[in-house]
Amino acid sequence: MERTSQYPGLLIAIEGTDGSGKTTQAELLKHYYLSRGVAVVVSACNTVELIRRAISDLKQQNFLDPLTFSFLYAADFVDRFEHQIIPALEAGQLVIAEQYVYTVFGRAILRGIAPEWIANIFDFALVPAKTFYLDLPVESLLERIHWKTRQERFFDYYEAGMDMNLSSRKKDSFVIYQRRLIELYREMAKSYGMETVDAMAPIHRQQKSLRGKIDNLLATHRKGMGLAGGGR
Amino acid sequence: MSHTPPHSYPGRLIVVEGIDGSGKSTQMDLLADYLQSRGFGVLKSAWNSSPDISPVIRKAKKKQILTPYAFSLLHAADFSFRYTYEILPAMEAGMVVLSDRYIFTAIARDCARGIPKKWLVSNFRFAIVPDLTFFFRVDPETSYQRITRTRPIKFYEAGMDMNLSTNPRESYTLFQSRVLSEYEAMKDEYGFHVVDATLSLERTQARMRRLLGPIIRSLS
Repeated sequence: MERTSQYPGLLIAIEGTDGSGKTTQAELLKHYYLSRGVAVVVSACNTVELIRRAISDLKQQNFLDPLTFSFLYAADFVDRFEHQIIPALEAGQLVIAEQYVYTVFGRAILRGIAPEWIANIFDFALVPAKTFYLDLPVESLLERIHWKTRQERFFDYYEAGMDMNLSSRKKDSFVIYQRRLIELYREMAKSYGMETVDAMAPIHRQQKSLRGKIDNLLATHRKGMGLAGGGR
Repeated sequence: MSHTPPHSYPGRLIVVEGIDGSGKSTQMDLLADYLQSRGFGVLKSAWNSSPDISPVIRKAKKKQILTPYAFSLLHAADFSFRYTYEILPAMEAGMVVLSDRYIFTAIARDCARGIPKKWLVSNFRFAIVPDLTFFFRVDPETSYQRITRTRPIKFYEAGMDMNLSTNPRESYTLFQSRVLSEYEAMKDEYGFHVVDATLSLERTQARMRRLLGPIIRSLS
């Protein structure tokens, strides 16, 4: 993956498991930068309708081959990347990508896909100026999604890792799967130089720290691009 | 994939490659009949034919919204689906798999769209090396005439997304020439058997059967 410095805009990614507060933090960042007059866009993972239908059809028939899913998720990502992220960066916007490529890496690697293979597929993408990983211990994740009271049928077969034969019960499989996913995220956070944020800290504290770090990145980036510092 | 050792499946994988209008599908059908008449189990797998992914590709093509990377990744998804759920099970069951186009189609076409070859080769490194690959060579002008006898040229096969020319015929010739030279660049590395697509149907079929002989004999 290439670095982002060639574009006038700045790319920031936020990664983390379900319930880690990605959406909340991304939205608060948007408010902050809008109020300061910085052009900002939140790029969430809204799967393209056509691809979403294919994915759900395949899931329903239990065709869950990780190679095929990696390509489909990559096809979905490339659409978002080329039609949303790149144009915004070209227009000089601050792009907050909620879920970036590392989510897809995680799903694939847990299913036995070689890390270099999946990383190569996403070689067309850009390395964000910074990726923040919102780290949540599995116990807290379970509390946040109401694991105890949530009914078995409300767990997605694939997101519970049922295709991996971890357990015959969806709920149990979900716990094992999410535990492994968190371990993998922590490894990736190290190897890809992500900044880990404690997702257990109060929301406003996390936000304050994110704002401070992104402010600095923006200032450095603008200096590098020969633009004036501060808001617009 | 060039570094992948030969596969150890009991089945055999036979591939035809080349641009459209080269007569390769006709030859594949004849080969399938021949093999079946001799009692071999045959599975035919065609490019872009997976039940859930190919309709997505067709719709996206109709809307003409595919960038080269999106085009490549969706076709890769279609291929890996057929590879996992059609080709490999048949190879495991000891069948002769006749694949009308294989990963070389993706590599040649997508390279012609400016995608790095290294990226494509890595994406498809999971795919086994065929036991036999026929490359049907035809010049783009002839292929254009053959195709347009039965249907109009399509947007993407003419490479109209590449802005090479506003004239579909000219664009087709320019784009398919690029595809052709990508095939030529791969032919030695992957051991393609070149078939002159202007030869008679019978002669070509006879040659294919001859080359197939040792591979089929090793099955029984």
